[in-house]
Amino acid sequence: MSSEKWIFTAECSLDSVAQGAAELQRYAGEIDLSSRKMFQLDLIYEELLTNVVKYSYPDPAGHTITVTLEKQGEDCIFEVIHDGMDFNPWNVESPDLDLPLEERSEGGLGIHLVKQFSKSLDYSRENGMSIVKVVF
Amino acid sequence: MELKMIQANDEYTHVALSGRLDIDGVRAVELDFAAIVGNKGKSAIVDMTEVSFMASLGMRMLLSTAKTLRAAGGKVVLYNPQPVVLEALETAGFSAVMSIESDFAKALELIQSK
Repeated sequence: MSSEKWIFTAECSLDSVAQGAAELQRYAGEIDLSSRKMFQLDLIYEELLTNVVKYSYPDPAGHTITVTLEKQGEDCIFEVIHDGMDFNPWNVESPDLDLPLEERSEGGLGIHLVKQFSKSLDYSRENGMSIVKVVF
Repeated sequence: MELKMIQANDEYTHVALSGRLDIDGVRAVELDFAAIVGNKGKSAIVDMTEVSFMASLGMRMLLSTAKTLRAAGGKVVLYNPQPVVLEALETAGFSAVMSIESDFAKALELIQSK
């Protein structure tokens, strides 16, 4: 069983994010996560990384995103570090889930899902880098 | 990720999704899903039994098609999602906008009721 921190650097593209997901699943298999934790990890990874790729850079070419995962007891600590916009995703309002289908927005669900599937959320900006942290 | 056509008749379309509905999964099936399920304007049962993962991109695909069908007078019933997929769908408020049913006979009843 591995206990070290998993670190992955993705290019700022959806292709690279999808590739990282496969590597993350391999690592998650080694650290013996429950199937629910695996689902949470997959979800948090995909939503946060997709968000950074889509919205953090006017031109994402040439930028990279660093992702880390560490298991501490029962908790997993997941971080996304990037040099894109200084933007706290946890300030995004959740979509109105009471609207009828016709009026429901198809977007905006990602951050809402991450919030609901996490124990704690944090955001900081240090030396031009955004650090988005989730404990689940 | 796979999209299988199970049955198409005058009343409804019955399809099954299987695999991970992640970035690659959505890319693999979204055009076919919209064409097979959305464009016919008939109600649809979407068998979710074999979907092991789903995030907001997959939900967007389902919402978009459900809206298209609603505009044509049809509906989408999601059949038998795995517990954690069901939890994600409920967290995203899907129960309020489309039926989610684990009993196939009931799913069929929902499709056939006006």
